[in-house]
Amino acid sequence: MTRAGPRGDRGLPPWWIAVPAIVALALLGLPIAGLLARASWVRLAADLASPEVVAALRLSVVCSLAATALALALGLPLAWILARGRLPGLRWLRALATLPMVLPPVVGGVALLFAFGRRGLVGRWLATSFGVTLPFSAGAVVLAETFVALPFLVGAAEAGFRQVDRRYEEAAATLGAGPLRTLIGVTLPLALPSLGAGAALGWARALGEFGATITFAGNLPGVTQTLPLAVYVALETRPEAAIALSLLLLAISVAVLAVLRDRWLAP
Amino acid sequence: MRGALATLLALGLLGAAAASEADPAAETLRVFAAASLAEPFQALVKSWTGPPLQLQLGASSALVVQIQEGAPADVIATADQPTMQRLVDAALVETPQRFATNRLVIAVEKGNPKHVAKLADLARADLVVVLAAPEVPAGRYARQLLDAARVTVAPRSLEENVKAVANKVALGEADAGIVYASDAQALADRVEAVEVPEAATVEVTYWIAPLRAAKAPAAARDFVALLLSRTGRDALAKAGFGPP
Amino acid sequence: MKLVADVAVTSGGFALRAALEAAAGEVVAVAGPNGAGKSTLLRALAGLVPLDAGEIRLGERALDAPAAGVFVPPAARGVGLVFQDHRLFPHLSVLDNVAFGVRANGAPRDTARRRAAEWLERAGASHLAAKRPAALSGGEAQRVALARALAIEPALLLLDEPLAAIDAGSKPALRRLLAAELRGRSGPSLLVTHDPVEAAVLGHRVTVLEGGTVIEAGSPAELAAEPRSEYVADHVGLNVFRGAASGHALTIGDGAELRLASACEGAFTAVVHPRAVSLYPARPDGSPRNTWPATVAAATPFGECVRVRLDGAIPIVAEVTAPAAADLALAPGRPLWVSLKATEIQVVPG
Repeated sequence: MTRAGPRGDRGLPPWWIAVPAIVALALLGLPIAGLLARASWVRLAADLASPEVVAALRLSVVCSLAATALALALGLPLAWILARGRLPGLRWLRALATLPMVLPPVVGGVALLFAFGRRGLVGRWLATSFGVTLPFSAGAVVLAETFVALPFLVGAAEAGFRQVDRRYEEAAATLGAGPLRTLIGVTLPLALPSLGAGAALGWARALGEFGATITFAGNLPGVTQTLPLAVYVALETRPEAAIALSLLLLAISVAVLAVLRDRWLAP
Repeated sequence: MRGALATLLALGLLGAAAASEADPAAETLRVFAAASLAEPFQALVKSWTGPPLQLQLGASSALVVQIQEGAPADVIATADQPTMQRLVDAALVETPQRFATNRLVIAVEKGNPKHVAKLADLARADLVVVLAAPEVPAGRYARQLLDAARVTVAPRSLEENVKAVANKVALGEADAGIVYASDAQALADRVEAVEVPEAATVEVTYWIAPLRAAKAPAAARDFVALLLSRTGRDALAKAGFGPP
Repeated sequence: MKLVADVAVTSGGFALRAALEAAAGEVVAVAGPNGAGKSTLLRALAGLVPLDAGEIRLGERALDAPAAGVFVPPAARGVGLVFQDHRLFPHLSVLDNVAFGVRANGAPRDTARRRAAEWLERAGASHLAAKRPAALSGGEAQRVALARALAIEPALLLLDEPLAAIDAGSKPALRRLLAAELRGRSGPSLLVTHDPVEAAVLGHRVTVLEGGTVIEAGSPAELAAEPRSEYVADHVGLNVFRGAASGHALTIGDGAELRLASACEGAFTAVVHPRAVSLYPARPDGSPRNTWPATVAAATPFGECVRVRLDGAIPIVAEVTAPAAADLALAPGRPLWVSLKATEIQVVPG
């Protein structure tokens, strides 16, 4: 083959790679450009200063962080088992862990209701034994967000654990490190870039979660109305306010993801 | 490599083209209707003899925003007058006509296990009450109703449309919610309606209008006519709606 | 604390069955061709591979005894392992790498770091303390790896070809370090090596593994005099002399001198293959620079050759063909002249 490979002569990609890539960028960028173009910059500050917005913002940030923490606490051990376990049927476990990703969010919310609602499989026991009802609470928001964030975290973490060279773990063992110390001192630090990426993705997904949240947790300003819900409700009567809120969400996501990618996640 | 990419791109574009209909006008009648109209309109579809009918249900306010942003619709039916007024003010519709009324009720689980009898009960601390969000017609009406009865309720959730309120009660997640009588009737197997005298003070009216920009104006007018005819009134009555 | 091991392991289609011992303070060099099972042996001793049968005992303690259902995990064995590929933790500094094992054994961080600094000093690597492993050369990394394994003061120290991946220029210094540290240990040490110089210089004894079994064990001189396989004859059973070089002369042992082909200064080790040693019934004339009288101590047939152990100013082992041996009428006590070309002497620094 005498033609230049994908890098081309001057380091530019050939047209049959560049064109689809440009279309991809357009698909991603045009909706955002649309948002920015329609925003009423003059009223932006007024739209964003209201107490409901502040409440929604605070709730979104707190719940998404809590959901990420919960997803980490639950997802890391699962990812470990998926990566290192030798049980039969692990691929079914893996499929289960991926399920929330393929489930439409509202369906996920309904499923959560059937599991944890007042009449749910577990929910009814929680209600009678502990007097705890999850729906309509901030806890339900966290649970719904954890549900959708888990697959991202587990997927990335499993890949991260897989690529940790076992030889380092062997070396740690010969130096006297038991399984827990090896995990904390060697495996986790070496898997950290993947874990960080998974956590960032999971957090972003949790922040933007809507369908499962509104179905399972409901919508009450200050209690369960996260930013995406506020956007949706605002859309009913005041599209400009909805746009302002959307831009706020966008700004937060971009800021965090851009910062994280550079500092912690770049290999 | 090149061939594979080209094939993928072609398939993607073809799919998108097929999914979007380049010429919608010729074939379908698009009817946007408030969520609470689900049952009567679905019944009407069976009596409809015109071009294929596509029914889009949602909160009236959400539908209006979509139309304002350019969503293609031929007919719009809202659950209150102010929402329809937004379209009138924007000169997007022909003259709207009132075609039905409804009545607010308290929806409770079948058997009324929590013994809800009047609006004042909704203020009880042991009840989980759910309302429609104030931005949507059902929410506005509910607020009117509660104000008329001078009852302050702390709802646990403000749902985005009235069907969601009814469903929460039907699922057992909420003890009570304020919905239209027609919604309670639609879920009669799991939900029962508690009538309240103050409901008479809240006028719930439904309005229908063809869009000026309708792609199927003749069919649109035919549908409005059907709705206002005996057939239409029967379907509405059967679903629990009142006369206009 | 003495190591007594009877190892039977089948791993990946390969069967290892070897028994060996190492006394406290002893350094046993384990030699053998690739695939002989040397690494598997070390891994079994370290506990990274469980035994199928047999027993590993360190002092009074059984580390692995399948028949009795005893298996001590690697972390609890007190067995240090220096790998060929150093395996320094990439996310820790050199100091923290060395401190890792000390901390794992219960020391608080400051104590561990202090001990690590001491061991780095001993290994001549203090100046590397703040660096990351990725910034080290092969030789530097192996120094640190050695310090790391020594820092936990292991009862048994295993080294898996520690110098194999080191460039020739750095080997002598590292070999010196190894020699110093190994000789100073109170517990036994096992050193896997390909290099006969390493085996002879660092080890008290040599054990040769081939095809998963021990085929020969003994001192380097014994292996040279009586090799039991081609591998031993060619790679292990060589003449190794350590001495001080000055110009073209290498002074060894009690003052005997070997003449070298090129000038050297300092500590050097000379390696002479028995085939390079010629034997004459009378003093020969000719070019070889190294010629001296000797007496036959023993003659052992090996294949179609005979290995002859000779006493004299420089004890040496020669290999001659069987007919030549017959011609020379070899018998213990027979006086002969040994001749060795300077160009046949391989000198290695250190």
